[in-house]
Amino acid sequence: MTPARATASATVPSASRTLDPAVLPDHVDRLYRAAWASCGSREDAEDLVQDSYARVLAKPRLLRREDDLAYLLRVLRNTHVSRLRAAARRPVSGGELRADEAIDPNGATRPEVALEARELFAAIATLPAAQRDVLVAVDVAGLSYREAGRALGVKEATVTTRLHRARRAVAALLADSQEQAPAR
Amino acid sequence: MTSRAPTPPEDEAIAARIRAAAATVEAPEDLRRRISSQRRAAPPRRSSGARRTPAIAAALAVAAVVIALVAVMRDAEPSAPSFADAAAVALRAPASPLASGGSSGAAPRMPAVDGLTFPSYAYSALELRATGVRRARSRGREVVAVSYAGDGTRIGYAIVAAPAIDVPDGARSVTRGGTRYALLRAGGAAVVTWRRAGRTCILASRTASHERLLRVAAWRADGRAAS
Repeated sequence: MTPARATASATVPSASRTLDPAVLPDHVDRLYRAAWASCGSREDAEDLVQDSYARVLAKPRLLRREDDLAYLLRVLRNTHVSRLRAAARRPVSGGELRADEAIDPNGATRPEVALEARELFAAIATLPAAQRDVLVAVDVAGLSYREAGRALGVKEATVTTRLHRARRAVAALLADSQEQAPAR
Repeated sequence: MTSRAPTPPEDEAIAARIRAAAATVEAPEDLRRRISSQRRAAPPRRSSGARRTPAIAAALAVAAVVIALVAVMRDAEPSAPSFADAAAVALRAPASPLASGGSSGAAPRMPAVDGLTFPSYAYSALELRATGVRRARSRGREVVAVSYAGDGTRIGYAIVAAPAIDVPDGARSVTRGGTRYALLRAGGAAVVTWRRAGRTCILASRTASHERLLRVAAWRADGRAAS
């Protein structure tokens, strides 16, 4: 099985071009998947996607040698990092709220599939940022190794190495959680 | 294309599992509608020097995090909503724009809950502009949140219909201008809550500090902030 490829642009242009806002809805599903795998939370993912689109729409965007999806993923990743940094700067004061996250049956076509996606995305979100970003770019969003390298600003060989580590880490996390799950 | 070593079978197995799960996930329709609204509100592309509209500038300042909402529409118990539910509504991005004020350039009409109107800080020293509203029901109770943005900050202001709901244990208490405020954190966001005419009011923000929220909470229409 090969990853789904971005369809909005068939080739990587050699010249700079402006991102066409009309193509943005074409990428909402992939960006939402990437956001969910980055945040580990469906609700955070919605806000992250909306914030990322707001940034993109604020002014004309010039793309250099990258396709629309790769650019949008880069914006999503940068927005996510900014939000994490802002949260880390806030001092802790007062009590901490707890809240449970409900499974959204609209998040996938079947509940058991929704659970699989939720479990996988939660595991991916716990990875170190460098591993998480390449895994999200390649396996979740469907970029090629080259596209992922361009989007993340790393060499293709680096993508390969980090992807290998990320996949092993996710497999180990899932194996651990299965060992700890009560027998049915 | 750079030549690479073949992917190990174990790696390919987990990759296939991730790809298969990801392929089943679709963005919620609500999110699609909000993005379509953003596109319609976006400034025209004719001039690269065009200034951002206030709506887009406010959207850029949004950096809220949703704690979680219990499936409120499926829960018909007529008991009080949890504080976490109400705070989550405040932290979420707005679902729709505010109603127009009528004449060109007029401030938007602020919504109300139980007769309690959300404040407009449009021409105040707080430099916050109302950008949208989200309406929800939690355990049969109306919760309305207005989103405010300005100076790189987004603040959500939620009002829960009467009667007031309990504040979680462990919150820090501060009194200003005769009003008692409770300060706490929710999923990395700063939260300030108080009671106004028997209704629970909640200010929540991912980027604003407790002190900033207290200034907003204590603001009065005459321009003086409560000390």
